[in-house]
Parts: sequence; structure tokens; C-alpha cells
Amino acid sequence: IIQTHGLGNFKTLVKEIGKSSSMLKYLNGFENTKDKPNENYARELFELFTLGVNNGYNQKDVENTARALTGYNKCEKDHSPIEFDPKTFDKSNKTIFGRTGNWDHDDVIDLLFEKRKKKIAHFIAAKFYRYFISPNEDANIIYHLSKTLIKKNWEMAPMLEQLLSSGHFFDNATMGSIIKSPFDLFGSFINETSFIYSSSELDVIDYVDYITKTLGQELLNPIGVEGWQGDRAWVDGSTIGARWQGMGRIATDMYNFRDDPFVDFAKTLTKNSKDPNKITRVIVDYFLCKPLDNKDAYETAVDVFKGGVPDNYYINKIWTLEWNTSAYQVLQLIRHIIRMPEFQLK
Amino acid sequence: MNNHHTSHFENIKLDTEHDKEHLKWNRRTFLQMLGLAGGGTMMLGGSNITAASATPLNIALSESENDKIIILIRLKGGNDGLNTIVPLYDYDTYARKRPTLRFPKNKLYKLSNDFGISSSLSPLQSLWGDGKMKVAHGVGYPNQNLSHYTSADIWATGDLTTRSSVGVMGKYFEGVYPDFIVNPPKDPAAIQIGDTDNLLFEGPDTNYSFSLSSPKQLASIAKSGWLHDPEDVPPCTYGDQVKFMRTVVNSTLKYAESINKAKVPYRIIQEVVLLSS
Repeated sequence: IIQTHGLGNFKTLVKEIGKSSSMLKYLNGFENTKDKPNENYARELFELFTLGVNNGYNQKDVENTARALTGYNKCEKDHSPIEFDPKTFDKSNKTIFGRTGNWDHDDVIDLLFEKRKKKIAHFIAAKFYRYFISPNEDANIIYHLSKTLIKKNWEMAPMLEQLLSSGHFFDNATMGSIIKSPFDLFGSFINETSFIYSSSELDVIDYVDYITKTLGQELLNPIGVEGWQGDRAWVDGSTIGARWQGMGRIATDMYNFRDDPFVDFAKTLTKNSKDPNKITRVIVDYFLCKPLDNKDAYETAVDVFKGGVPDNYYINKIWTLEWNTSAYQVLQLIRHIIRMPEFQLK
Repeated sequence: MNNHHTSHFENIKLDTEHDKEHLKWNRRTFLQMLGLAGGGTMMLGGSNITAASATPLNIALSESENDKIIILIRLKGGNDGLNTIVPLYDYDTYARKRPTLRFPKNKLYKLSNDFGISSSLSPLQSLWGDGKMKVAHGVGYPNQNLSHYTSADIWATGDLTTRSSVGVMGKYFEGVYPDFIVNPPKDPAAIQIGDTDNLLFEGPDTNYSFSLSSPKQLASIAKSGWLHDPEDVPPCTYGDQVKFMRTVVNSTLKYAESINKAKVPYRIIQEVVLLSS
């Protein structure tokens, strides 16, 4: 459902996911019967998925919604799809958002999206904003995004297109505001370089899966119903050390597998420059979203890149990227860059 | 007296025979700027010995409460040993084997009857005269490996087979601090500046040095207690996030506080910074 509707229609997504066996099990819809109502999904539907905490609903709405969501309780045997059973469905009237009737699941969603249109649009637009732009919400931009979402009848792609092609998205002022998730960290490194980890793609996936789990992001298994908190929750004094080790390890493993991509990388980016200062700066700036504010940091990086090769080889312009030390030098520079505070931002 | 707070280029006395040399960074200027030697001038072999002048570095070292400090300075690259400590006991063979490279006798200072140092090391002469210098000559190994990285490993580990990745100092500290990981010392066992992949302080399980990439970084920690300035950020969300990240990174530096509070005069570190820029 998520793959099908993830960038499709948000209302459809919400409608379908509430009836999916996985969700019914996960948030106890499966146990929600007319005799023993369970409010868990009703609450999360409003609080986490569409409106936000206490934003346009009250306890009565939750209770009545729970009753309207009953009936999805039939399951022939373990792991069979869960089906609707009118026998366990609460057929009485429920008052939700001020409207009374014998509402069922789909009715609830229709009501929700009709009576709470603006709040839902704002809620979702803000989520997209925080995910793609910055943890600091820009009310004006979010307002316009929410209008688009409503205008396009809950189709998410147009809103996202508007956001990603906007001047705001490319505005330097907002760049680099997001702290990379563990997956961002490793995924973007793999994408942005052509380094090879292993001849088997599965090995890479295994490694990324393992390391992101260590860093608090088990792929496809968020930490809780609300999802990963993200932003500064990703990083503290101990996870930063694990990030460095994980990145250092993958870079070194890639180098040990094939080191010529490291040289090619530098040559391509710098057009085969012989100047260690230029090479360093270009590579540093390539990995960071903004040039470093602290100019001393470039000098330090140059020293790291120059490494064990004595200075006279650079001064006399003898050294080039053709040297058999250059792959290692690029590796050392990368191992240095990944430890920069700014490297954690995107 | 040398003013160490100006550019090192201004302080070099031009030598008619090696002017171009002076303008480049080289070992001689390095030694001068260290301030370990006095402002010695070119002299012909065997004459006056000048006392080391009181430079800030000398003063600080002499004021140090702890006299068990070793400063290891590693100059990268191959050194011509025979032209550094020249064998006066068989000068003729030396001269014959090096028709173009040899130092004429009048460009050598006598350390003893058997050895002389080249004129390019004249700043060290006063140290020798004060009895503050020792020379271990003939240090090396046969069939020297010409790769800088491999040779560096050999020097750090003492292992000609290059199989070991445990440094000489790493081995030493392993004995001094058997519990290093669980029970680290209050102050760093060693501070390593630059060449952070060098194996010298690498032990079997851990590296024993507090490792920095540059003297400027050490200066930053000594002066302010941090490696990355948490305040100097642009006024925007990016700046806020950079500040957060820098603060986290700073918090991982176990010895930042100890270094910050140590009684090392900040101006010494300033000198070291000047030295390498």
C-alpha cells in the first residue's frame, strides 16, 4: 500500500491502510469489536497520521470512531487476510466531527477529510517540509503547499513537485538544515561516489542494513508508531562515534576491494589537477552542502591529503594523481571529511 | 632577539650562498624558528660556541614542572645522513665518493674529531656546545624502502617485514597503561599532531595518542577547550545545526579539558602554529 500510494493520493492511502491486515494487527484494529472496542487505531489515525495531537478532535471523536472501525475481526487462520465481519461490527449511530450516522471505516475517512480538510493539508505539508527542507517550518511555504494538496484533491505528487522546483528549495538560506539519517549517511556516500564495496550488491545492502540498525535506524522497522524522530535525535556523543567508525569502515573496505575508483574520482572531479590545495578543496566541497565557514579547516584537510608524501614533491610539482600513493591519499582525505561536523548535514 | 610573532620569512638572515634556499621551507629554517638554537651565524669550523638564547620555547620548557617530556619531531622524507653528520675520520673516502655533493671541510663544524655537522645545521651548534645535544648516527636499515608510507611504517614499528601494525611507542604505553581503554589516564599519554595514520603510538588494541591533524587544532583546544568553534556560525537554521554538530563533536574529545587547563603557555602553541604555516 505504501509503495503504491506513497506518492499518490493521500486520502486513498489512509483509506486503504486502515483496512490492511498489517495495520489491523499492528494497531489493534483486529481486536476492536462492538463488544470490546479498542481505541488505539482511532487515536493514532488522528494524532499521528492526519491531524496532530488534539488538533481538531476530542476524546468522544476517538471513542466513536473506534466503534465505527469495528468489524475487521474475521481471520480464518493465522496469517490469513483479515476480513470484515458484520457480526462484530457496531451498527449503532456514532457522532464524529459533529455528524451522526451509522458510520463505517470508509465513512469515517470521508468525514475526516471533509470536515478537517485544512488541518490535514497543513499537517501533511508540514511533514513534507520538515523531511525535505528544514526542521524549522516556514509557515508561508507550508500554507501554499497545503493549498495545492487540497486543490489537487489529495494527490501528493503535485505538492511535492511544487516544493522541489521552488526557489525556496534552492535557496542557500535553507540548505544544509537537515541532519542526515543513518541511511542518508551511507546511502548518499555510496551514490555520490562510484566506489565499489563488493562484487555482490547483497553485501552492500547487508552492511548498510547492519550499520544503520546500530545507529538507531532499522530499515523498514521504525522505532515506534510515530516513526523515527529524526533531526537531532539521530546524533549524540556516542552515535557520532559510531557514525565515524561506520563511515571509516565502509570507505576503507571499498578501498581494499578496489582502489582505482578513488583515483578516478579525484581525477574526474578535479580534471586531473596536480595541485593538492585545489584537489582537497574540490573534494571537500563536493561532499558538503556548503563551503566551510572555517577556512582553517581547508588547510588542515590539505595537510591530511598531502599525507606521507613530503612537501618538496608538491613544491617542485613532481607529485601527481598518477602516483601510486594517490588512492590512499584520497581515502585518508575522505576519512577526514566524514569526521567534519558539517558532513552530518544535508 | 628573534621576534617569533612575525612571518618567519622576515627573520631569515640572507646568506649569499644559499639565498634561494632560505626563502623555501627547509630544515634549517625550521630549527631556527624552533628557537632551540641561538641566532648563530655562519662560522668557519671549530670556533666560538654561542650559548642558546632565551627564547619563549626554551623558557617554557625550563619552567615545566614535569621534566619527563619527550618531543618527537618527525620530518617527512628521506634525509641524506652522510651529509648531515659527516665522517671526518675518513673524510677522504667521503669526498671521493661524493664529488659533487660533499661539503668542503671549511663548511663543517667539528662536533668531535670524528664527526662534523654541515653548515646548514649551524643553529644546532650552540646546543652541542652547551652539552644539550646528542647524536645517534648511522640509524637506518639495509635496502631502504623507497615508499614514503612503507618506510614510515617501518620506522614506527621497527619491523622490517612490515607485518606489524604496533608502533614502538604503542608497545611502550601498553606496558605503562595496561587498562588504558577502561581506565584511561587523566592526561593524555601522548599528543600526536599531523600524520594521524602514523603507527608510532598504535598499540595492539588502541591508539595511545590524542591525535590532531594540525598544530592549529592543538592551539584551539589549549586556548578555548574546543576543536570546533561552537559560536562562530551563520545566523540561520544551517548555522544552528552546525553549532549542534560541533558541540557534539567537541564533547567526544576526552582530553580537551585536560589540555585546556594544562599550564602550557598559549604562546608556545602559537609558535608551533607559526612554525608550520
